[in-house]
Amino acid sequence: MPPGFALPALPATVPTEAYVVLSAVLFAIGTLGVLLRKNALTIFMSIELMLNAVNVAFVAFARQFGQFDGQIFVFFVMAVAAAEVAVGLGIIVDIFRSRRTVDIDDVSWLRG
Amino acid sequence: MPFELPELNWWAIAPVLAITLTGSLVMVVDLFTQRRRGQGHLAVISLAGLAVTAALSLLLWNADEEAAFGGMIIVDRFAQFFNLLFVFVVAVVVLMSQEQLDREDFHPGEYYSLLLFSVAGMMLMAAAGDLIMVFLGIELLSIPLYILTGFSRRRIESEEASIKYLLLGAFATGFLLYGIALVYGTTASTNLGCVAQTLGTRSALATDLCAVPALTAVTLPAMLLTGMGLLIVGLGFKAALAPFHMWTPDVYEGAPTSLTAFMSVASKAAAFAAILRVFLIAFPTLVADWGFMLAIIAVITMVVGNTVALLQQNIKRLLAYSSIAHAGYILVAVVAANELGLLAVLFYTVAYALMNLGAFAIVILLGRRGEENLLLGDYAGLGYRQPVLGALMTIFMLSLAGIPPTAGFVGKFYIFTAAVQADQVLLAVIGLLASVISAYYYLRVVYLMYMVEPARAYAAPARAPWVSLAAGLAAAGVLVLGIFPSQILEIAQASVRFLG
Repeated sequence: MPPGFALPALPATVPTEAYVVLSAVLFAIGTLGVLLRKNALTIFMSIELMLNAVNVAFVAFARQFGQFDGQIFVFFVMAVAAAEVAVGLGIIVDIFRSRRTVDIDDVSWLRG
Repeated sequence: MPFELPELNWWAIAPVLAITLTGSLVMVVDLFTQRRRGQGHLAVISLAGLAVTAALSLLLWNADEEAAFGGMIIVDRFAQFFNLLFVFVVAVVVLMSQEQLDREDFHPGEYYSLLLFSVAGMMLMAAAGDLIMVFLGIELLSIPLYILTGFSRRRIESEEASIKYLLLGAFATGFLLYGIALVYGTTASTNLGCVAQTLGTRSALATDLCAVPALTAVTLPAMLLTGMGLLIVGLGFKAALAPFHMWTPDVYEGAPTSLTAFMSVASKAAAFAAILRVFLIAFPTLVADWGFMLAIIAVITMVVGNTVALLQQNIKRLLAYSSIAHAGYILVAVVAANELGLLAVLFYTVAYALMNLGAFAIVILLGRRGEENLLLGDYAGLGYRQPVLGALMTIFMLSLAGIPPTAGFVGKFYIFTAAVQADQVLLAVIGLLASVISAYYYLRVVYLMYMVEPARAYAAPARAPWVSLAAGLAAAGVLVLGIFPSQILEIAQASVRFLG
């Protein structure tokens, strides 16, 4: 670092609002992913992104309030998401076995 | 950061424990008796466990109202009412499944245990005193249903219904959770009583555990309202409210019929139990806001459900759209939010359970291996081919259409009276018009059964004594509730006192 150069001063802590905005952005990206992507696995990953956006929000609020509650909920969310993924991947593998594709547009015998 | 382990009062969740243990027992017994032909013993174990569960709920009926597990669980008559309803529904579904399990070569061990675990989730939803409990209940309800939907693996539609249900269900869960996070962010708690206290209502359920919020709802109303809206999306998905109903017809058509019956009745009831808990306990001060949102959704739901049902040719899809429409009627009573409205919600969930289970029992009786004979045309001339089945189906269709002297009529009568009492006259009128439309497609089934010659010859339906028993029970219930509704109304009245 050249002499006489100083980094701009950063706030001591990141404000809660920043985390909330981050989580809202992540949530929006996840939602768009679910709506726009066609591959069942990608959709699944987008849903995970939404759930993790929720986790960010929970932890940020928990820190703001000085509580454990919000942090504990994150564990619930992660455990449930893991269970959902286990079932979901099972179903996706089953579909792949019978149709050789996991593209949701090809999986449309029912009319919607 | 103070952190205390909550006191564990296992007695408070005795029914949930009983049903979970029954599910596990079925799984273990199945493991040791796989070589045995038939699955009657598993059904007997399930029914015995359900009897124990019902007995425990009855014992808890007169217990003091209290919050257990640090406010996560509320023990009151409302919870026991729904526990008994779920136990009844799943018992009828176990009877109805006898025929299908044999016909479609399902593996019975997983079928019964997943069904029971799903009921445990529903019970937790009805007893939830915390938004996190609502979330856990919904997931415990849904994950077994995702698997059960895909249970007829020989049918390609079943698999597809399963993946659709899973992806959309998980998507809706994301919204629900974000809603919970936003409510937590504004009120510093997810406990329903604490949320109400922060928002300015004195709630009997608020404890000294409630935190003093750093941000108050007054400063952040937009975030709170967004959170509430997202909660409606998440719960509305489970209750199959339009416009969050897209999954319903496909999943109901693809799933095994006995399971469709279970989903259409039980998960809807659980979703409404949770909606009542969340909005009446936590957000009574915001009744104008959520009442408005729910009123709009109720109108869309009734109109979409009933008009699209007119076009259906497949009986399962017809009943799917009809179930959407009925969710709309129940929502009208929720919007009314007075005492009569609550009574009407509880009464209607029972009435709807009886008539819909009965209708699906007839669909199962007439169905064939591989889910054939499900088109409306297949019902032509049924009244002459099978007079008893025809008569039963007529009772269920009349009840669904809301024609006296059936349970459906009494239920609708109370719902619309409650709406008028709450000055929601417009909502009541739209509901009445919607149910006039609905009479067309329900009575079309009756018309086909008695007025139209069948296009081809049909073999007599297989003898299925248990399914017939389920249909008979449901029909008796529909008529008894339609003619003598006071008994169940008194029970319902005792169950809705949680409002205080």
